[in-house]
Amino acid sequence: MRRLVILALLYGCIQLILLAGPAEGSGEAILAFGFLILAAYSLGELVKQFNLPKLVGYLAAGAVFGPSALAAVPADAVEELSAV
Amino acid sequence: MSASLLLVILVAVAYGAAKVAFQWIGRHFLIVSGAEYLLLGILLGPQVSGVLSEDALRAFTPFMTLSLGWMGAMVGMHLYLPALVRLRGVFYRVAFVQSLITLSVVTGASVVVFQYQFGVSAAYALVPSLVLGAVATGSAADAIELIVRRLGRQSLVVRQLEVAVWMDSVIAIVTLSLVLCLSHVPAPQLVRSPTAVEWAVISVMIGIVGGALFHLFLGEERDQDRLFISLAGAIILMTGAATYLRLSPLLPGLLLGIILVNTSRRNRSEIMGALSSVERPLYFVLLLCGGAIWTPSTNAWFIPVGVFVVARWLSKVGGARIAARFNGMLPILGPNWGRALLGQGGLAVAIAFNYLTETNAFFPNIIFTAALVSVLLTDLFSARLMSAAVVASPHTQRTSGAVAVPPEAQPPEAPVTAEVGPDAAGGPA
Repeated sequence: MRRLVILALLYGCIQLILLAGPAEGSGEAILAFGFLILAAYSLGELVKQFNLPKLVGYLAAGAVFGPSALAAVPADAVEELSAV
Repeated sequence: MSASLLLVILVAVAYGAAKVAFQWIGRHFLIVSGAEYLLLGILLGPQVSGVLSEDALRAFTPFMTLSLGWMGAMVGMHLYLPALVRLRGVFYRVAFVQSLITLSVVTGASVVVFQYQFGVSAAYALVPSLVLGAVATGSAADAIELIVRRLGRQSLVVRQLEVAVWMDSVIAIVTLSLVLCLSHVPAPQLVRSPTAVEWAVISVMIGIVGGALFHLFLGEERDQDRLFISLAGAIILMTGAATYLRLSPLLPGLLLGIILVNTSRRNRSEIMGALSSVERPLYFVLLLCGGAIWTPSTNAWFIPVGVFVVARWLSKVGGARIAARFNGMLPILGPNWGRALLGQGGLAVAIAFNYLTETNAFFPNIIFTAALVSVLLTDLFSARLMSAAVVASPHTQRTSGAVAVPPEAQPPEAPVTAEVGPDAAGGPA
């Protein structure tokens, strides 16, 4: 639960940073990737408590924060992360 | 085989070689590994053989940027306050003064050279000169780690060198970060563009807020895998935030490292272990790609680079002597202890690369060339320079007979012992 609260705070911080940054910042993909790792980790730990595989949490993090839902990870950042 | 795959293989091989061969070579011959990867990068890059294409290097730019944040965090992890306050203040004074002298002398010399060579105003030349000063201030952190492993921390000279190296790193990082805040491009999307001071506060806040949140996020986690994933996420996020705002990721990384090391209780060593496990591969990525992206400046770079190397040498040796003299440490450290700080490593490349990626940077290729030349000239022998300074110092000469034997001749398991004088260390600052 603690991690989810921190994740929500981080999400708020990222939105602030995106407001202050340039239109096409070079670090957007890195920023999104870092947030996605933390989100996937937190949701993985959360679903584990319900006896579900962590992979479900990872997929859920991608779906929730990806371009189709909350768009914390924008589509162009996903494209930039293709090398990963 | 694609260039990207080749780069991945190169880094993997470099890491394997460093793990297997170079650690042994480093232990036995006091040679720090690093500059050879820089040279390899130059040879494979678009300027020489073209094996690594510009597209492949562009794909690896995020990893290079990430290595900056990681490097900052690694420097911060060495600043554990309970250990720092055990040393007397004179060590910090000496280290601070010699850092400041190097920064001032190299900056001043560079301003003069830029004015003379390119006919620019002093205000225009100040920003690239300060970056050159920051590059010059940094010393080889790998070398001091090797020396501490080899000789232990008993000798006052080793302690002074250790303090000086970390002080150099902190001053270099802070200087670069402030310079990037000073020369920050306006942000037209905001109602009012932040001032340089506000950018500096934002830069510091990314590190402090990030450090506080990630301390809570990590909790008392001790499992290495989980710790690594959370730490990697934290550093990537913080590096991305700083890069997105066109600030240096080094300062937020440094603050994150300081907060994590000072607030963690039971899992401090695990955090250090998790961070260290990726430090070397990222370091090799930085050096290889740093060498590969090197482009000769269209401006005449010989004189500025030459002046940089000479001014750095003079200011390090002279500044260290002046700092020791005015703080009464000359009888312990000797007049030439500053030679130990001549080595340069990844931090110099990191600072120059950080500046190179700035959109409105002045003379970025000259600064990058100066950093590469300095690393190529000094990195391999940085540990030997330190070892020689420790052996030649009056304090080492006066103490036990064990130190009369050159460290190279001793087995690595037997640390060189030197008595710690009751008047120079041991008490609180």
